[in-house]
Amino acid sequence: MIHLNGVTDEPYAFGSRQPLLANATLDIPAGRYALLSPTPEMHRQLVDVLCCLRPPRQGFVKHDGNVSWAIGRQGFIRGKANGLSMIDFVSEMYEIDPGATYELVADLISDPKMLAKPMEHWPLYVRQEFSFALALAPAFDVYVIEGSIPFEPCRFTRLWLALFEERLVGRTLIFSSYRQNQLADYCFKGLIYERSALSIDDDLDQCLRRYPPRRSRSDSGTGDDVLGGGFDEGQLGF
Amino acid sequence: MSNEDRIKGWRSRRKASNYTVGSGVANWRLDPAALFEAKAPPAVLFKPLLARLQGEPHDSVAARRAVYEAVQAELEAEIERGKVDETVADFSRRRLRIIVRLLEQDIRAGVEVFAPGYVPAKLVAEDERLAAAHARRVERRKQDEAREARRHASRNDIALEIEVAQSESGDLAILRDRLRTLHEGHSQDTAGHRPIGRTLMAMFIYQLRVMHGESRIALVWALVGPVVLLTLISSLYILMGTHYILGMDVQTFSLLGATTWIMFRQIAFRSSTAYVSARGLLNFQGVTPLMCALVQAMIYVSVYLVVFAVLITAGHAIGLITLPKSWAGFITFVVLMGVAGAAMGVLFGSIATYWHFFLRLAPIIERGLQIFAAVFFVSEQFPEQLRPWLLWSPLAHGMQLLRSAYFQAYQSHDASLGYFLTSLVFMMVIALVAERLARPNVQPM
Repeated sequence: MIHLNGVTDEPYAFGSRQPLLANATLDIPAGRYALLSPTPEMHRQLVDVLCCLRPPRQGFVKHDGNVSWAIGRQGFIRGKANGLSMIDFVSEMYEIDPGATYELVADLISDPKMLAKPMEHWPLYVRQEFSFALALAPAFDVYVIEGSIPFEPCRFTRLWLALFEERLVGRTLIFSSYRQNQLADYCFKGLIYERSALSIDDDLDQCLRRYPPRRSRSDSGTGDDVLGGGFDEGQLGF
Repeated sequence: MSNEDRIKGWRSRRKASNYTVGSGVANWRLDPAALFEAKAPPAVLFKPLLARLQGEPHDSVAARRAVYEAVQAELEAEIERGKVDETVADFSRRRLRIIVRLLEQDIRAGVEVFAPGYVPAKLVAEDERLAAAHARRVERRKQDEAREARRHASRNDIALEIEVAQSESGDLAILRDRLRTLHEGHSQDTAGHRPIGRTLMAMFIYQLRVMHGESRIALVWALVGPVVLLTLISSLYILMGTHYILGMDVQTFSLLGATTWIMFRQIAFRSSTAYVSARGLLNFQGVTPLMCALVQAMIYVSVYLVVFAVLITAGHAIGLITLPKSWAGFITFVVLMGVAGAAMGVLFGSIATYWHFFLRLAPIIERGLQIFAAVFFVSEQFPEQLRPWLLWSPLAHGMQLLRSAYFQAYQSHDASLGYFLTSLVFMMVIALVAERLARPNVQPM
């Protein structure tokens, strides 16, 4: 369960401060929610707040049970470290057995050999599979998925879906995607974000008609950060 | 068809010499076994239709229509009798309609349709098109059913049975077992209560691996930087004929100043950059920008402690460097300088979240601080009236206290431990307040 208590937030996005939430108070009980809004560009920032990845300017977000990270994001799959280091890191942080996590991920993904290579060299499909496979390892109670649930007909999709379906029973899903079919397939209620407020709507079909999902316009062009580039001098202290 | 017509027809057939009663029945009877097969050719419908047309009067449109309707009725009866799936039945009906249309076109065009081996020219192509459309309909229906099952599962909060291949079901059983073991071992409620130390240590180990994956020459470079700066400082003093400064030998004096300062600046820069830029790991709950900055500080303190150990040991072995009076005191002050660097890094990083350009100013600020940080000299070398110009900086106090802890012969009279520690705590508080204000600005990547 996720509780929002008087949350007000104005994150910096698209070159200026955007009003995200204004004194939003909401309890999100167990269920399967499709995150819908007329502005999917703000879903990312909203998911950050819901998952407690970033504290809001005012108010607070409280979790009952384990809330996943935003599954589907690949921001952490980068750099020189290899997949095994990342598995170690997640296992250490979530207090789970790293050996069993290795085995789970390696048996699940299509190309386990890639795990030993630096993540920056991974092709897109390995990143996607890794991000979804790793998310099964911790025992989450709330699954927050940003992007598309695997759908390509392959071994990974079938096995991952079979495991995920079983895990999801009795738990919560918050799903943000531009794929309307997937939203209709996996969700039961709408989590509506409109005019700096969040609400729950029980009629998903009507929500989908009112807020037809579309791809965020920022998907193609946020790029890397502009901070801190170029100043990195040598270590020669003079 | 009247009885007369039937008799006429029978007589005309009887004229053929090889005619036997009942022969050719198989030719015009629809074969229910072949009719609804998945890949039955169009001939299963076309041949009986043509045979029947040949046997019946077919001179007028009305007569031919009667034959077509009879075949269609028979097809419907077969569908009814065999309880054929609606999609397959629909495919057969459409196929019959196409055959009739093409056949009728050819008859009207005067084509010899009863010639042996006759097939309407477009039949194969039209039938293929029909089969493709049929396959699409079957696929769509399957998808609709799958979607309906998926939605039913979601609405009733039950697990949808995912079809896996025979070869994959073994894998699935193993994976299911692994997942169960993993989840049993997982503590139930760690939400927001994950120990910070555990996350920090996990990040520390992860960052070490990142460094390991990056160029290992970077670590060698960590040695080269201090050596170059200490050589520069030493040679300036030695060129001026100074070999001892207030009882401290010039090489060791320079080594302490150079290495500690390079560590300080590295920590300040790396941690400030980590604060604003290391946003990938922020996708994990419990990882904060402050932690990213602190981990960088921890790594660089560790790296430079090793650099100190290597330089002091190697320098002592060749007789250039003296050993410290107190290792513990020396290391404590090095670590405290590292803490000062981390505080400054977090402060710089926090400012940079509001004003991105600030990090470009950071090296200039650092250069300014370096002059007042007792890197090249200590305050006791200056006349009394100039000393306050140096001693406002807590970093100068720290560096002089560090040298006091290191050298037997030097005890700083100007440096104040109280001032240094108070300033350090003050810096940390300012950094943490700035961090709290800046925290909502740093978004996960």
